[in-house]
Amino acid sequence: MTTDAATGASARVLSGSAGGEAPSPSGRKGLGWGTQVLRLVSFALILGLWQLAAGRWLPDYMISSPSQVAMRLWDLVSGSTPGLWKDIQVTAEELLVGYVLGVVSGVAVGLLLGYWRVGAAIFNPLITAINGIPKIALAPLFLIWFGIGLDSKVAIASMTVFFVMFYNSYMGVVTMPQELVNVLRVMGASRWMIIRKVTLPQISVPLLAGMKASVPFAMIGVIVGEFIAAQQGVGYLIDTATQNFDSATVFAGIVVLMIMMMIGMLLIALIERRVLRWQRD
Amino acid sequence: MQWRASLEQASDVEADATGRPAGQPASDLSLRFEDVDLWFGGSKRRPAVQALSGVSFDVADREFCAIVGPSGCGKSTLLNLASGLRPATKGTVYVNGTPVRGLVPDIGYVTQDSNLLPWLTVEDNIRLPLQIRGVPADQQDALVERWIDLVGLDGFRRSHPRQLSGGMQKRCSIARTLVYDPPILLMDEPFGALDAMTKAIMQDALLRLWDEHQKTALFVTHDLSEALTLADKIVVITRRPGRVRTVVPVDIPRPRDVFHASELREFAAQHRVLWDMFAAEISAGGSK
Repeated sequence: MTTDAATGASARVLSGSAGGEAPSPSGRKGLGWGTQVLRLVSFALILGLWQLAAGRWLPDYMISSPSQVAMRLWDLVSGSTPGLWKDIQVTAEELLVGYVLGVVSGVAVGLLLGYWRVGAAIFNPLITAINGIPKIALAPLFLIWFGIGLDSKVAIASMTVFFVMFYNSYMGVVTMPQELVNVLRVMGASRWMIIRKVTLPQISVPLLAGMKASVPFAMIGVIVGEFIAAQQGVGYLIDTATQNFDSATVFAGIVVLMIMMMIGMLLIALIERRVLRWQRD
Repeated sequence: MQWRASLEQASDVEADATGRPAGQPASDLSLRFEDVDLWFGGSKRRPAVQALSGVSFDVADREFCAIVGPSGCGKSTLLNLASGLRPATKGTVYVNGTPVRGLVPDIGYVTQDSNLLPWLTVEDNIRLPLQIRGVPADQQDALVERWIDLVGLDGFRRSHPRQLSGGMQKRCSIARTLVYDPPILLMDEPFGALDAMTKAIMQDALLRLWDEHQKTALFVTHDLSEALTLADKIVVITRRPGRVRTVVPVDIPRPRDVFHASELREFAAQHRVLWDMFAAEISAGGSK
């Protein structure tokens, strides 16, 4: 919930920063500032309720409280309680490597099977079957195979991302508008020209949608991996805090994850804005 | 409407030197369909459907030939055969005397939908065939400039297709096809989706361009009046499987006034004859 609101807000800030562009006649851009205020108020209301409930209606060890979380967060960020930055670095690295590997391999296989009909006929049932397995159920296996370090988390994250990207790029090729391709063929375009002028721009829409959807998947993969077995990472921090009933640290860790996600989504949104310029206005 | 004026200027510059007599096709053939059959599909699950049966007709060099017929009779398929996008099941299609095998290089094809690339601006869409054909950059600029002007999209050169109206998209699509000056022009109901006013203006523009650039045109439409207004010759196709019902030369003299052609006596007489034929095809088919 809060993540959605937060990323929504950041996306709005982004589109607002376009500055010089003429406002769209549809008026979709830019909610009134009244709405913005109400957003902040509702956010503050929830924090207030939480603060009120903590220790009164619900025990501290269950929900902590916003003030405690803020203080714990400060301890962690400032380094009075050491280790957070190292944890962030480890998790970010797992996330980034897993994500990139998943995107690259998913797109590669998606394009390959998109163009190679026979291959698609052979491998699609297999891929669908494997995709039917809840990826998280495979996580323990991956830990056995790749150890408790970075590799296992990268493997889990990249596998979840792989399937999203595979299906998006595969469908992108399969649903390629043949008319556009034909128009270029009649003009005498080479295969390479068609890929450059039609295939790549066309496929960029589902690819970017997939890349956006994959960020949370990669995060889930990494965090679950760290929950199961790890010695470092934000997921590890949350897991150990849970075992100590230290809910302030748990929430602090969650806030850190939220911020990491927001940064990830923001980066993708920036890429999307550049690549899909033609789709807006 | 400003673009019509610029069109007139353009045709003034390149004065009519050829003096093609109306209704008298030049001797050399440009397109020839010879006993063409076309079957679709035919998989294990679905039986094959015959789209065309024994279609034969010729289009002379620089002739404007319209194809009319009920919807679903395979009119558009004829264009796909002529462009080489689809091979005939039986029979042969000749372009400039050569049997069509694979894509034909000298053809411009204006499809039913505008089929502009949504990620390119108007300018870049029109430039695309020039890039594909490796035209030098400075010549590209001049040609793009000229055609943007000709089709009246001057204020929209940096717009993307989705920002244009249907008529503007169509104009852009026609400019994109004519910019590389293909000697043979295939058009598949290019004005079908336009309102009556825009349609008439587009027809007028097309006739001027055709006059000026001396092209062979194969124009598919389901609109008899449009066929009569534009063409030298009308090929009537029957309902599926499409056969050539008849080939009728159009008697209306050129140059034609698109906006008033339908008031001519020749027009009315031919329209009546053709319509009776056409209506018989439609009612026999029982479809729309």
